[in-house]
Amino acid sequence: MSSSYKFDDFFSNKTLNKVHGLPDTQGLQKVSKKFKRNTRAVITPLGGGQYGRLFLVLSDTECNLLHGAVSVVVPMDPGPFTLAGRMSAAVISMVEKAHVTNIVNYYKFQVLKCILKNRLIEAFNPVYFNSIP
Amino acid sequence: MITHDVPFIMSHLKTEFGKITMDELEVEVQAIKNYAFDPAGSIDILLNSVFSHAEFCEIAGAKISDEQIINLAYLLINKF
Repeated sequence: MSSSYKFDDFFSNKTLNKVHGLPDTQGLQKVSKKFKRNTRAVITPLGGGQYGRLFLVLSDTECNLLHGAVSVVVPMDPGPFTLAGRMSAAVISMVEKAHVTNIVNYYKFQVLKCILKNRLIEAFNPVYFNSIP
Repeated sequence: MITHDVPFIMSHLKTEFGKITMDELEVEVQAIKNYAFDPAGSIDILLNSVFSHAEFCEIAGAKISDEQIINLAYLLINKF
């Protein structure tokens, strides 16, 4: 992926209309549908890949109901790059590349999570989030 | 600052504000029964309406089964 990789490019609903007033069922359904459509469009090999990143907006129970979906292994922060023991230059280079890939995957995952959360919060009046523990 | 992820926030909003009264459910049931399928349009429009209805029923605590969802879609197509 190039450095200009943007999740927005995948989204079919680039803008999310604000739901005015109480977040009632219809409003929540509309937002939920747009989120599902958008995340499904973002390609990833995680979870088998056929549902894109839909798993980011579904509960574990809902994910398990998806036909043919493989359970998603969430990318973890690989931490700083360390070498265990003596290795040849070629092995070090390989381990380093794998480490960079893990970092990129982790950040992509976190960035998209953050974008989705911010979009969801923007979609409703902030007052309705006060009750969240 | 909200530290929870999207599924949690959505679930919270649904629980707190997405309550549906029996009257609202009745209106929704009537609306889907009166739905007019346009064969010139995409079948997805009909399916989306049926799935939305199923979701609405589920939130209202009156979940309909997969068989009922399929039957409903057939009924709406046959009505044309």
